[in-house]
Amino acid sequence: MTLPAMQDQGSKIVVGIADLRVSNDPADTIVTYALGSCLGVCIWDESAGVAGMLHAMLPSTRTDPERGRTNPARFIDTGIPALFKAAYAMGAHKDRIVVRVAGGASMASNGRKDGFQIGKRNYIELKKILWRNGVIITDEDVGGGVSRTVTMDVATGVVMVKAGGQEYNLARRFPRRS
Amino acid sequence: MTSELQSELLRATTSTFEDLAFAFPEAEIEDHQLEAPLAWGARVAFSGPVNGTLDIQVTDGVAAELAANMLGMHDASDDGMKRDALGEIANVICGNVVPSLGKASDVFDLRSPEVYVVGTDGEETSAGATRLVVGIDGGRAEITVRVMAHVVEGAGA
Amino acid sequence: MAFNVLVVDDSAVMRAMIVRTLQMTGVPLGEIHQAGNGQEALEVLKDQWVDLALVDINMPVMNGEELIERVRENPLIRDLSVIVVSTESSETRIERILNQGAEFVHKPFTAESLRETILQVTGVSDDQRASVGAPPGDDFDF
Repeated sequence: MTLPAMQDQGSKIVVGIADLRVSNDPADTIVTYALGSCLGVCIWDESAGVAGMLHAMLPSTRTDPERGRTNPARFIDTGIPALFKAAYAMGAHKDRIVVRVAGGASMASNGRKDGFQIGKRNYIELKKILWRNGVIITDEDVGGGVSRTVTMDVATGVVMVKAGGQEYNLARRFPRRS
Repeated sequence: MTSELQSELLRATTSTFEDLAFAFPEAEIEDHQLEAPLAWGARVAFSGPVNGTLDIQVTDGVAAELAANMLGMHDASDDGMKRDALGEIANVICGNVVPSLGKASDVFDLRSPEVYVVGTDGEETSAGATRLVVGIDGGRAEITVRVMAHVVEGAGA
Repeated sequence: MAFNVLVVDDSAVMRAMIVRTLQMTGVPLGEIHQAGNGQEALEVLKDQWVDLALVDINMPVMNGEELIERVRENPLIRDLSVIVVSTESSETRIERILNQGAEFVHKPFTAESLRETILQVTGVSDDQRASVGAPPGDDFDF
């Protein structure tokens, strides 16, 4: 007995908090939920057909280097290299990789100010490591005060963002800052 | 005007550090940041309807971090890189602050930044100066705007 | 075709940042020349063919505004594409710059915002870009 239909339908790959996933199956979609101050970083190499997504919580391992070793996807400064290397392992090349970013919101609650500004720190750390490694962001939807759900289609690299009751394509929203 | 200048100084400093040097300036400064010695300074003189100077002084670690970040390197311990990076930071903050000292149509000219080693022989008088102190990682930056002279409108006519 | 570019700024760090951004745009680049002020830039333009110049305003010896005026007066180089990259905020001066047919990018800029203007001025489409682009470097993590 075989299960023929299941093979080609692809699957929905869920990226948890402090997690990263890559895929080269054009039938797959990659999704991460409820990005607040966390950053969702999507990378895509059209030629290699490789897509990857990181859901990082904090900017830097400086405060907790041990945790950076055990769970690199928790931090931007270890998660970004891990994400790119995972995509390289599937045949992606840096100079073809397109980067799309969502999240980094300012999550003030109950009238309290967002004193630590984790969302902004995450974004600055991302810009720093990308600049150092010669990578530029193609599209982004960052900041503001909303929680975002991000879905990427492996075949087309299209990144859809769901936030505040709306869903939109992240492409060509650049430049947009808040 | 002073409070407007103060808020413009904060805005210009924040955006310059963030966009150009990927550094996050913090308004709340911890003791170890306050105790770290200032090592490098850069001064930009400006002239226009109002003349004056902008100084930025930073700890050695902050100077190295700014240079490394701007140049996309892990480390920039070379003094030449630190000097040039700090000078450019001073230039950009100054260029973004001076419009608040005049009208939107006013033209200000900025001199090239002069970078110096911060001495231990006492502070310059800060009377009439607008000052901002921010923490950056293990160190801090102090930015001071001094307005020297107001050019009286219609003078010499 | 590849674009020959001239970067004019009195800060070596700023010139390095602009060159790095150029290399990340994916625009095909030929020779990249650098100059520390307007006078040095005119010297380069005398001897070298340049397609695009990125120019600061406040510089010693000769500022960027005078440089652009001199370029527009010279029939041999008057059609040079110019992007002014400056802290300038004066409406008067920005209007003068735009009237000289230059684009304007405010400092501090992000690599992304400067790239948009470079792509717009060079007219290089996504199809013509060799790749997304990456600068040469030996300080990479990945």
